[in-house]
Amino acid sequence: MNTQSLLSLKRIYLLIRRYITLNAKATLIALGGISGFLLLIILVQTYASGQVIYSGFVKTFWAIFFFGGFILTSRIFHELHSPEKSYQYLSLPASTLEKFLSRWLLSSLIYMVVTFLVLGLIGLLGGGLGAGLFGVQFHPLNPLQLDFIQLAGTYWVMQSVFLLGACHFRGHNFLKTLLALFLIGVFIAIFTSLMTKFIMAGQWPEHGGFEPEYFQQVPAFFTVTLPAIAKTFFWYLMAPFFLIVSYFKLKERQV
Amino acid sequence: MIQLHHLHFGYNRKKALFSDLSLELEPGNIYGLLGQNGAGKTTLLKIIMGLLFPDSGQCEVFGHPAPSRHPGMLQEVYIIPEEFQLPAISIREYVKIHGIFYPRFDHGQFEQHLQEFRLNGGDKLSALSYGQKKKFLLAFGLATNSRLLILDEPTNGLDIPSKSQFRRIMAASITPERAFLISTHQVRDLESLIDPVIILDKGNIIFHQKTDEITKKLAFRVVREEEAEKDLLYAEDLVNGKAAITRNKGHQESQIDLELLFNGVISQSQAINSEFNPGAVF
Repeated sequence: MNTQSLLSLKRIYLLIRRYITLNAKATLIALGGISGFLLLIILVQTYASGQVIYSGFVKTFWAIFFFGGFILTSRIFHELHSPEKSYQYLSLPASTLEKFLSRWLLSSLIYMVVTFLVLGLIGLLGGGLGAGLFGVQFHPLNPLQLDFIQLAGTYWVMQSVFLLGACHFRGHNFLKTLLALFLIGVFIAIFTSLMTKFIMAGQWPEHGGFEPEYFQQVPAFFTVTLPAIAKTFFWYLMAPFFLIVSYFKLKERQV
Repeated sequence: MIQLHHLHFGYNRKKALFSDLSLELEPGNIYGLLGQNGAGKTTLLKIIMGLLFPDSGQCEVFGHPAPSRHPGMLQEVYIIPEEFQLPAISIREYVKIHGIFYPRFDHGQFEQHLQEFRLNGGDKLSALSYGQKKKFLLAFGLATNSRLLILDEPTNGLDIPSKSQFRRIMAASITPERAFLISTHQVRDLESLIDPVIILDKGNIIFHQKTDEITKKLAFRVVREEEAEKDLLYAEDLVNGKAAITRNKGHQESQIDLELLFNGVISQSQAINSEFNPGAVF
């Protein structure tokens, strides 16, 4: 290992291995419980409908995928929130960049690969079992379909917000991040309402909503350019921004 | 090795804990960092380790600024804090996932210390007593072969045989390349081990001397009540006289009473320090 370098792939691997070893038991219990629950959904739905149906399984999977992923991400630096443990993590011979990258990879890429494997395997197992047990025709679920990939991409971006929450808050990270998002949401809603009222000056309806022709008078900047900027910000700028801020939060972290 | 220059640190802006603190640590020594509660001992150790950042001034550890927490620095420093929590895994698993970060980690040495402390590699860390956990961390810390081992109250929680075992192992493990920095209240436990002695009071280093210098300049003895001592620097009442620190005019070496020295330095810092630096202003 090059100890003068601030970025060593070997150390990142060792940090990932350390995290998995320290959290193996809890992870396996959660994985086993969730997999069993998802399997049951396929079997019940197959039995009830007389054909292999994945809709309930897929909806539940995505709810668990997002909710579970955000909770995992919020707790990814849980060692830092206990003074009895934080010294050990911060004094481990690896750079802040390596510590950050290892936890980011665990809560994004590795989490996504593992959950997609669960999606594929449980889909295969549930569909196969349902078909075998209830004598219906088996058709497999494709875990790599486009809308699934897009949902995973949405997670990839939104996860970075919870990573910042994990680095910034000292305890109850998930709930505090949710609260912060809620407050920011309220602020944006108030701001956009006021902006709309300002732009639509004199045309603000007293009762009911706007007539469609009102929107034709709104400058294209607000109907075309602004949504395009928001989309670009979400897909290309939001995650890097939150990741960079999270890294510096971790770098400044003291016990 | 470790250099602290004009260090300023405070937990809040209004009250500084350290103001203009400077200190240098060299290899080959077992430094004893003594101080009252709240003197800043643990804070100082955390600053050296890069766990707390100074407000201003420099703290360089093996050529790296401590706040950078550079891997090259962290592999040369290992800390055993007073309060810690170990994961619910076996000793063997712990060593497997942590030892590899230290390039000079010696598994043979670790096993040897483990045997001396009567611990087993298969033992689950969460099931060990506080004293056993401390012994495990000590075995691990020594086996890292880091050039600076920092110990915060290492004898707290150790039983009487373990304390002497601790002293023996520490004395046998010191080499010209490495240093130990031990912060403690239990001065009697480590009296025979530590050299030099550093005393911290109200955020300042008020005493920093090697033991041979101390015994050369100061004498530790029991004097009778009526005995008028013109060379007396500090005294404490005993049942049958006074435990005293006097000027060592006869240049006869006496056994250092570390507790007495500590109390003396805290209450008569100027008088005692002037024996080492005549003419200096404290």
